[in-house]
Amino acid sequence: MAHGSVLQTGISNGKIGTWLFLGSEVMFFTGLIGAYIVLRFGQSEWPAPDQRLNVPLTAINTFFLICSSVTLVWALQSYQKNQPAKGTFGLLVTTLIGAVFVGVQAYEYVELYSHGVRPDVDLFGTCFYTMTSFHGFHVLMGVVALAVLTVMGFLGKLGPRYSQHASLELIGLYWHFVDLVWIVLFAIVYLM
Amino acid sequence: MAAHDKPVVNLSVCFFLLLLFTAAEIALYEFWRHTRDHWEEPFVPKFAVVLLIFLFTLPKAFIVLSYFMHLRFEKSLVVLVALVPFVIVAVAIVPILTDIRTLSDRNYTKAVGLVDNFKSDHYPGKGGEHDLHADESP
Repeated sequence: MAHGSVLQTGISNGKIGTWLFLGSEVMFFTGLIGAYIVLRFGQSEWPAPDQRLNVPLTAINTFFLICSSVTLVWALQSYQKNQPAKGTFGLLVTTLIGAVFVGVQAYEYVELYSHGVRPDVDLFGTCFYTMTSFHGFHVLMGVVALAVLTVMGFLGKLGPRYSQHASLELIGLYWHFVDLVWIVLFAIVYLM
Repeated sequence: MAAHDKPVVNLSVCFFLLLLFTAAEIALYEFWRHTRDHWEEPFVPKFAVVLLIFLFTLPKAFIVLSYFMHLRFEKSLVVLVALVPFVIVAVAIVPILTDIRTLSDRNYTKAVGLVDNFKSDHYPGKGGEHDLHADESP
């Protein structure tokens, strides 16, 4: 196809653009993680994460985010099988789980703040809030995008027959990437 | 590609594996923490736990990238676009890591004094004087 959304590569512009965007996000988060590793291991003393953070609560939150990736794949597969009702339900569940993740993170911030763990107190706080808040912002943007898709689903505008259907796959890529980043962040910030 | 040609991912297996590796990470860390708090010494050094947790994280990342993000089923150009940033950051992070030695002579956390002053009995079951000791084996 000479013009339109597909080039001679056979890959849509949207997909290539999304992967390039995610590539820049890899650089961004690696910059944060790299800085954390340097600061963390450059110190002779560093608080153990469980002494300040609520690891069990965040472990449950991690479970939620993994579940949201699964429900999103299920939603996409349902649309591809021409089952829009199931697909929209999957989107709704994914959006709600994403919102719960953001809510739990906000609750965690309030708790930590009230206990004196703030970003301006020491390096631990600075690193923790910088990394988790940037990730949380990404999740929030994902939730907004998923909410828009859910509304479109309820209006019957999603499915292989509609041009907007491609956006579901691309936003899905973004959402899985956010999940991937959290898998790494959780291990590095909460368990190491 | 027609809709019916799309590869179907076995969600149950992926979900189970992700859950399994996450549970293994947490169980490993909790066991290490328990031995740190109740034994004279942890059952393994901290760096070994860090290494093991990292090893558990890799297959999780692989599952998400390969199956949820469909990289396993994509054309080689997409795979290239997706993987090149990982290669670049892997190379770029090496010179950054040398800064660990640069920073090792200073101790910002200790200078602020939070490690000594912090009371960790905010969360039930985590109190006690022992918790005030910082992890000294990063």
